[in-house]
Amino acid sequence: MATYDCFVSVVAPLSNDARIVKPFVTEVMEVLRNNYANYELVLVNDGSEDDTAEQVCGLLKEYECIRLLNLSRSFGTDVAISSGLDSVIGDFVAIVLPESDPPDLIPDLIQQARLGYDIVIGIRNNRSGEPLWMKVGAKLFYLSCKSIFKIPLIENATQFRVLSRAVVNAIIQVNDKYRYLRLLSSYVGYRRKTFTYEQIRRYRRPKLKSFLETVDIALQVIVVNSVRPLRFASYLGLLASIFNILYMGYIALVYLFKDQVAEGWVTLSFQNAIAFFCISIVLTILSEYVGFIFERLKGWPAYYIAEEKNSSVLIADRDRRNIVKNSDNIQV
Amino acid sequence: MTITNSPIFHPGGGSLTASSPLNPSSYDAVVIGGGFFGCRIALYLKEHLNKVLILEKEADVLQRASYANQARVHNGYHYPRSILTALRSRVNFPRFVSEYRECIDSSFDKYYAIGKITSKVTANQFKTFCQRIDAFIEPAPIDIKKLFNNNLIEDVFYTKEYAFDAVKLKHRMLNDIETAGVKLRLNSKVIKLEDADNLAIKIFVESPDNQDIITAKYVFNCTYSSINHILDRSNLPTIPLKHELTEMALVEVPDPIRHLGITLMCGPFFSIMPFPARGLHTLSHVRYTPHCFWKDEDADVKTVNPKSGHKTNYPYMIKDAERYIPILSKCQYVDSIWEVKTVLPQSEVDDSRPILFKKHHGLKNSICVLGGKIDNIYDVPPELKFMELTGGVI
Repeated sequence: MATYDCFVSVVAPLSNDARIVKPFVTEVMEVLRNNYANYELVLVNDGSEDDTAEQVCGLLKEYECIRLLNLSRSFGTDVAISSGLDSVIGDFVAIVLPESDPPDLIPDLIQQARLGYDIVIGIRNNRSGEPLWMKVGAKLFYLSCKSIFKIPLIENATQFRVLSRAVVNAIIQVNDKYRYLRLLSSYVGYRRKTFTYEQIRRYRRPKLKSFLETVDIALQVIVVNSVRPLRFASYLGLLASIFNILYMGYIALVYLFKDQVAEGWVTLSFQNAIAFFCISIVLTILSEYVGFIFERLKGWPAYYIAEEKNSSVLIADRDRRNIVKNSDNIQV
Repeated sequence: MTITNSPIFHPGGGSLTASSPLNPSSYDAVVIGGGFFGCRIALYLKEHLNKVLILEKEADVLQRASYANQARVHNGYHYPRSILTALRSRVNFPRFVSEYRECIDSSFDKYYAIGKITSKVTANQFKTFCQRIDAFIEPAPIDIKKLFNNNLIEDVFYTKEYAFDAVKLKHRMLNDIETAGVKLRLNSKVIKLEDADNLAIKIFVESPDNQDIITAKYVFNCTYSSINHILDRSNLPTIPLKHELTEMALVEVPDPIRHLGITLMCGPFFSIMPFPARGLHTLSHVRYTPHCFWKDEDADVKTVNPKSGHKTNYPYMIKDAERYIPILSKCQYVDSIWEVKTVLPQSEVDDSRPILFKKHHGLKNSICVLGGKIDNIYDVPPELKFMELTGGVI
């Protein structure tokens, strides 16, 4: 097969993937070797607690052009991917999740990127296998992002995507601890195209996040990427203050024109309740943002790379051919 | 000049056409390996001993590591994580530069840039480190800083660093060897060493047209990556060494950086340096210059021919380098220099580059020397003091 004269990097985050990393790497390397003259596979070990790193070290002796970045602890998939993006050198970069994305599609996607699309984004064709709350919740989330918070998210988009060098350069300029890549690749602009694919299941079902985790991520996406909740708080605050001014006028009028002002505890209670309701909402939103500002002010790096390892394929192995001298008659 | 292919050229007389194993030539000291360290050690030995011979496998001296490893002499900037190696470089640099002045190219400006992401030092740390070892450092001018990608580079410093011309250095060494009266035998591969008796070591030498045996009181194994080959063939214990097959890309750089040398510190980064012997620049990359590594004890002691057609890693080096310095995309690839680079396994941990000087290794009076940085040669003579004590008497 013809090999293309472009440099392709593949970034794959690994998190406790010891059981699937070998077949995954085998598959990816086959695709890369068959299609490209120059390539690299950057595996980011996101603080795995199993023997993922050891598995990869074995593969480094077997395959060429693999790099392993061991993060100092688990930083989450998005940060793991962005640490990979910070260090890849390819003209085109494919982000692939080992568990669920089919490496066979890479050449097709790269081809589309070569035709001028800087971002080629994968969209899963169904959410089958997910519980009802997740499906409904996702629908609601995407709807609110689109209409209320004006966040340009693509529905059902996955991490599986191909980025051009220009986009990677743009993304690594974003010096932010929260690098929600699905959104970032929209934010930076450039020519964009989507494709729909069916996710695979390598060994185990893609791990589902719990309800709380999901809500947490959704809230984080909204808070980090939109000032609309803050604006909402401002409107609410303004409304409450206008209400309070009117109410003060009402009190003044009562004071001037009424003789007996003994009762009125209902109104008072109502006023208190409404005011406190508004204040609570405002405080909630503010605390979210203050927290965010606090994180930003700390200025800690988004991740730490504990060590980096590269392929070391001995010369003796370079000429190794995939040949066996004998075939045993084994029952299959 | 007393340079011969075999047979051995004897001083003060005609050459013997063949040295008979029954009547072996005897020397006070034989240095195996005609690299820079081998030649310099032979010169030191000649100060105390009468008959000193250098045996070199190749057809010329200074052909391997002394030529192929990067031709830099510096103040120790490279070792912010190993203060001893840095300090020794700082101390030895001016001595080397003044002793080999005619071989030194100082006609370029040298800059050290500090990477923002994955760098093991910060700009401040690097500056403090240079000040601690009293190495010259200044902020780089604006027009130089503009060559770098701000998002990936924290800061750039102007420093003092030179390159040496490996070809000129070779001529200088040949000249010194001749003047001192050290014998040199080229195209001579040492097969093995053997204990003759308590007073001498037998050296089995193979040349294209004959094999013979030389005896010597002292044998210095200065063969760099081949140290264990000789030990292994002599049934002597091997020394733990790590070898890497390394590639230096030779490139034609675009005009704005023609008179610059640039090193990016300190992590999986790269360095682009003038290479006076070819009038080009070398591009080396911490991640891509080593193609593979092995340790002698992992498998049998293996010989890897550095020059047999390997696939170049240049596209990888340049792709990464141009992320940091965009103008490097205009570099033209010319050639690559391949070499087996040998380091002590401990250097992997502390990033130091000490010289290994191992006396009486396996055989009495057999000394293994693994050179580190070229200008650290001045650390060797104190180790040779025992020559003075014995008066060089066999």
